[in-house]
Amino acid sequence: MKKIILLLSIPFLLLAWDMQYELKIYATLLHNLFPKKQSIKVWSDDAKKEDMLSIISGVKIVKNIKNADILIVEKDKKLPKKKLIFAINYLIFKYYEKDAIGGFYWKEGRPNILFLRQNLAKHHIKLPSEFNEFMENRL
Amino acid sequence: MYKKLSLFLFLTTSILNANNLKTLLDGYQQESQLSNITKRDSAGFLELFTRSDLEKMQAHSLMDVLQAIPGLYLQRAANNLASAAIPSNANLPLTYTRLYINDHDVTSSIYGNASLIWGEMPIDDIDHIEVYESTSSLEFGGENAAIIIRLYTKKASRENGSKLRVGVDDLGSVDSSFYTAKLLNNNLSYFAFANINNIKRTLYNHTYNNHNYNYNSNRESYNVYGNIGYKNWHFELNVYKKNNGDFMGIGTHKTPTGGGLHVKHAYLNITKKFQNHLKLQLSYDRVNYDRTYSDPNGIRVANAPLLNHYATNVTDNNYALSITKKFTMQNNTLLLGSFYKHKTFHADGDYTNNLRYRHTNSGSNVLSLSSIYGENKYNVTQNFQVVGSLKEDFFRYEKEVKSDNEFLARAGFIYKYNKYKFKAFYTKGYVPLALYQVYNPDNIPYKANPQLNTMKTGIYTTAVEYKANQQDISLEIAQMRARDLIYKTPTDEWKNSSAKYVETIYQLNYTYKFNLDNKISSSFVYGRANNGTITSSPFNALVKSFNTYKKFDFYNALNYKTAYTSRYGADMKSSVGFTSALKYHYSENLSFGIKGENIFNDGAKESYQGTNSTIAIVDQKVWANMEYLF
Repeated sequence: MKKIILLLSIPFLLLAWDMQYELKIYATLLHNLFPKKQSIKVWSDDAKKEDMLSIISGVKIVKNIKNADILIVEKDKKLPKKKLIFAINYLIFKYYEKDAIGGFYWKEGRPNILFLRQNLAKHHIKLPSEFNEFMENRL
Repeated sequence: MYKKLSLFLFLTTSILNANNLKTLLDGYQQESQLSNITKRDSAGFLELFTRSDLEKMQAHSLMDVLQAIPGLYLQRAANNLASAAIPSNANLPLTYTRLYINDHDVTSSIYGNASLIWGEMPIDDIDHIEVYESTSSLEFGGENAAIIIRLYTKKASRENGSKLRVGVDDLGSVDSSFYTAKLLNNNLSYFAFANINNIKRTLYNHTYNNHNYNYNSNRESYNVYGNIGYKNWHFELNVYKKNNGDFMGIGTHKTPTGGGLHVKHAYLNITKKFQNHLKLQLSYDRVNYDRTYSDPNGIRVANAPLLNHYATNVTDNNYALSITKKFTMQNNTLLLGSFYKHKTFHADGDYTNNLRYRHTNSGSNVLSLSSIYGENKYNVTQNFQVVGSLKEDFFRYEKEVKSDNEFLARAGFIYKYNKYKFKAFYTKGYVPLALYQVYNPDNIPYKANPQLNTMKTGIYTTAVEYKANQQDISLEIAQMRARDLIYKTPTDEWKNSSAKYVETIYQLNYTYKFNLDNKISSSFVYGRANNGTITSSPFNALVKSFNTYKKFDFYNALNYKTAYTSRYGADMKSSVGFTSALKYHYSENLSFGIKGENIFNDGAKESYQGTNSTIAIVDQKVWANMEYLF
């Protein structure tokens, strides 16, 4: 049944965004980071990402950082480090290495997803065991 | 509403987990390939090599890629230079192809050919390669050509790391490359690349009058490339230097006793992208081309007795400035552009024989080439696009050569209907002349013709494509009508022919994608000239497979060409070139590969004037490679 639902939904997804895999990746990450939240409040400093994330069901884009559950960060280096930070650029991930829970970035010619164990623990986030292969102690 | 609903359906399932996060990442890598951004559907028939393709092919030089293009035949000239042919026609003008690295035209101005110098360039710094056939400069702006090869370097922002590759082959070649790239901050990045190689090729022997002569075609080269990106500025420096053996040379009996090619091409290219799609490009190229031949049994050239030694040294200096501006409206995109090139060349020659004949000469000339062009793409509906382009090129020489204005025009459409796509274009164009064809005051060693006309072409292209989920089938037909053909007289003079020439190429392509990592593609190409002349294989079938299984990558290519009689009267048998590559990923960053080229030793061969020998274009050899990312 699940497969049937997935198959039914794929054509709509294709219509929704040119970068269908990117969209699916963010949807997967957000819903596994916040499995119990009906509405995930997301802030981003990248306007294109905001447009894309706004398509995902259960995601609400907020303009005020204080109201956000998670900050999707491309370049802003003045963010409150207590917030949940997820980097989408290798340089910014390096900058927030002590605080960011993870990042989605390009390195050595390929896209990478990485979660930092200690920073996840600071925010009491436990990801499913299937994510273990994407977890490291440092960047 | 649909969007939200679809995502809701999608996400309320628990199918999305980390198991398929890996698959999603693979998919993301494919959908965000740089080739998806740069390729131009309307520019001609495109053969695309993505980064993933190049990695599976273990391609380390441009030649590895050019031999895997359906309907484009590599040729190996007697003097060890590489050129191209198409089905049934081995006599393509040298200026028929142009080569770009990013937006820079690296084609030599005096010889007007891309592959003479850069055909063997290393490509570890290259992200992807687009080869457009039956195209013109109208889509890309630069000087005109019917085959345009575009190479795009890797992007620093996607690398953020370094790579070392070392390869050795069973003939004793060594080829090593290194690059490093870094994003220093959001505005500043660099990419630096170096390659050094010593390529050994199969050594052939030739006996003439009881003397044995070696055909040496070994090559030593180095290439250094670097770019710096700062905000919207892009600075590039590329230096390629190589020393090639002379192979057979150009002697009457192909009995060389020395000589070679020493060439160095360096360029600096600066690009600035302004807001509102305005782009400015400034470049400087310098080419040193030093060629010597030595043959005790004589080298025949124009206006001189039989020579035994022949030396030329050519220096090109090219300055170029180009500007483009794109106007984007709701259904219309208008591109306007212009460029100016100032090309200077200086050539020295020294020609001697063993009977005390000696002639030295020296000459120089300057070409000012300017061009204006425009292209308009109008989307009549979401599925129907019409394209129209106009271009005028102005050639002005400092000395002797007649001035020339050349007009180009292109019109066509792309129509999508369900899973089908139809394309039809007509391009009126010309094949530019190389400087050496029109200017040589002493007429030694060849007779230049300052009154020579460019070859005029009219190219009709049409294609129908069917794309299903996993399959892609297309039929492409191109017909070139040419007049003012250029030929060399028996006395080595360039002349225009009054004959008209029509060649039609039919190409059928089929690609099946099993999944993201596995695909097989096949192409069948047939070429026919109206006058029935056949100087290269008329039919080519090329089957390529790109596969991944666990930690292994596979690449296999089978290239079949039918028999024909060469332009020198040799009976050329049908050929089967087979290349196979296997790569083992020991870890995410370390891999080992092995690659066999011309494995059956039954690949395409070349015939030569003055000798009965036919020689393999691609050597039979085995490469071992190691790649390390860090």
